[in-house]
Amino acid sequence: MKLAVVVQRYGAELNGGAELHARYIAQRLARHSSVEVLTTRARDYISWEDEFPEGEDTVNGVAVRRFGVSRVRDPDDFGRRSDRVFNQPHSLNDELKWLDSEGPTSPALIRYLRDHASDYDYFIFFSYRYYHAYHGIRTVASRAVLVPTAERDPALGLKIFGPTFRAVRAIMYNSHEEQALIQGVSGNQHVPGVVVGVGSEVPSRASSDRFRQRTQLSRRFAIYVGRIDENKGCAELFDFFQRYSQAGGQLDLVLVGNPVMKIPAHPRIHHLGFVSDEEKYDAMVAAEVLIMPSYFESLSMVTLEAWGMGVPVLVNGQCDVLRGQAIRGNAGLYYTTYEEFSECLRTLYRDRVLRRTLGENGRAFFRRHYTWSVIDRKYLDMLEQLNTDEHAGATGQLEPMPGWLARRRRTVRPAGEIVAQLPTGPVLESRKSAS
Amino acid sequence: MSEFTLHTESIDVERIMGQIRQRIEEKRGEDYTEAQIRELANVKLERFLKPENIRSNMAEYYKKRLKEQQDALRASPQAPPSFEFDPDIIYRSSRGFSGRLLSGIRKLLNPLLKFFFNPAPIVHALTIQQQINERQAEVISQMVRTQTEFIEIAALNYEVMNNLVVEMTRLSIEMKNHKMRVESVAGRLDFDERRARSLERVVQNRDSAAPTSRPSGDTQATPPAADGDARPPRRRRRRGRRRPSGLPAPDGAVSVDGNTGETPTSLSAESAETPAGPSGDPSTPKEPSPQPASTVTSESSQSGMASPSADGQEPTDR
Repeated sequence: MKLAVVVQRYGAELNGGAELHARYIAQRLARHSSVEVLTTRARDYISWEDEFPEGEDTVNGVAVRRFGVSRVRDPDDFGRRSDRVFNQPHSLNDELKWLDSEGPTSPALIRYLRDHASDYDYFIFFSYRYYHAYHGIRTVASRAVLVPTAERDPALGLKIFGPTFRAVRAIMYNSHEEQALIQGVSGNQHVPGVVVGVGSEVPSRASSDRFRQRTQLSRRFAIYVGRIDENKGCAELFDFFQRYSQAGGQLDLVLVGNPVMKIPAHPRIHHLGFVSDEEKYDAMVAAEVLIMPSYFESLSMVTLEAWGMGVPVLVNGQCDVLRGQAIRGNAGLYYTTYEEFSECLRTLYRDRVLRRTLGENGRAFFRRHYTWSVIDRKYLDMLEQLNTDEHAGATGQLEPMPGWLARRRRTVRPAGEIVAQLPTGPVLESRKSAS
Repeated sequence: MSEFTLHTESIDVERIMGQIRQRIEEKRGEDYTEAQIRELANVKLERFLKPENIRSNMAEYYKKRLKEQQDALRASPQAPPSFEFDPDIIYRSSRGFSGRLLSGIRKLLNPLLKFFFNPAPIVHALTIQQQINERQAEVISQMVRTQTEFIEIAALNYEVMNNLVVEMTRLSIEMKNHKMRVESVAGRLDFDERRARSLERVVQNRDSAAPTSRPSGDTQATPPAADGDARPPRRRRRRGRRRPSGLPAPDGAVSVDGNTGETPTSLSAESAETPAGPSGDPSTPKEPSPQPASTVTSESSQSGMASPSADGQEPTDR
């Protein structure tokens, strides 16, 4: 079986969520099949400027084929078009122009897919919202498998993506909440789908003593790992933590990751910066709890790693995915207000039994769903099922694009309005099956 | 404050979160929900959350404001002065000597003028009008003053009411905090009483289990039961009032110096050495535990999630 992983950027040093996810999956599937990565030459996800050399390459043993980007992104133009399609009645043509404006616009990649469709058994597309996935799926719908990496953002409500979600052969979801969102917006329940996510390899031996010796930190602490960014909810985390500390809370806060915002000067907030994996895991096992304050996550790998290490988590309850995982796994608490944040931390601080139980539940949840053997099996089973269905005559059906005039009628509702009407909250119906 | 029990094998995050929310509600009090607090804040009770914003220089503020209003009144365009009217004014002229000459000629020709029309009603009407104007000006001026005072009083009332609401709310919250503290202290007191009773019972049992320590002259000691396994009779022991030495104790009263022979002299020392038991249940006297009371409290909450202490500090890790 020959597989192509199609993703907007690819490289060993790229640590963006979907890109890292794609690299992990490509490397894992390469153990079982012939895998080639089809991607652009872009390195920067804002400008999409060509930086990698064109042509064939090899990254961690996986063949990579890169294609040029025909235009870099104009942020002003993209901002104007985003405002139009997200907030105003618009046309399908507006959405297509928005997609071109977003990038990475690579007609060469799409041409290659058209010309070499028969060379591959399946194309696994990552990130539904980019040019390569939309046009790629329209080109090879009958062999397309989608890993949407969708969040609750207005782009999900764009009308052009509905046929994409309905046309692919299968969808590999990151979470039950993502599945509910996509099914709610596109009505693609008939498309085979499975909640997979991404695996992680956590070390079997991490040492909290090593961490404490290295950092000379003797107090008990909560930890945040990841980019220290306002978009990740860190501003709210700092606000809540300072109030918690002022009100007599006993835990310190340790931050691991590169900052893109100002970290408040506080005697009990310790920033370690970017650290090695070994140091990161040592810090995690030394922590009482990992805090994940992000509002938007399709899948938090750090949270999964914490669970893999047996560390309980405290997540932002406004994020359906994180909250759903915490509830389904019985492996973490969640907060939506400062009072809940503070009370959860106090409860976790003083109750060792609760911490240990949540951590053990998290470890079991991780082993059941997020070890690589489980992830590999889910992908291979799905591809096997598609192969069987194909022999039975099932193929993806792509809906035709409306006519020239219909594409220009401004009758499409604002995407933000559509997303706002989608169901919210964690998916708990599948709790039994998930746990 | 309520506690909740955690069964490790059947942990349920939603249930724990429900209990955490319940605890938050208890802390917050019953009078104000989150929505109500926000509603209050929207109607200019931001000061509710920021007491430092309440003006302490309110009197100065109003004096300043009054002065500003007076200045504003002065700066406003003045009404024209009232016109002094008399019956001869229609003949006068302001041209000096020629004016006086002209006025004389007009008076001379007045009979001729009256031949054409009667100026007297016009003069009378203008006089009345002048008086009306003066009165109206006075009334308006009074109304302006009244209105200004009313605005001042209304603003003052609002400030006072607002401050009262803030103080009342603060007192309400403080009252709730005190109530919770009283409950906590009452709980601890109850626990201590039960522990004391339990300890007393332990000492009693030891006393009855060691009859040899009794003095030989104890004439009130109860003989053992015939069947041998009957429990020794439980005697309610009261601590006698300490008297000065040399005063005789009344019959049957227990004396700490053992004069009556009822109580061994080692009682006080033994009870001082006996540490707190693991449970405060008076119905089940237990062997004394070597653990100190604080440790016992912490361990006893292993089956449940401990509530925070009354002073808001977190207890030690379990």
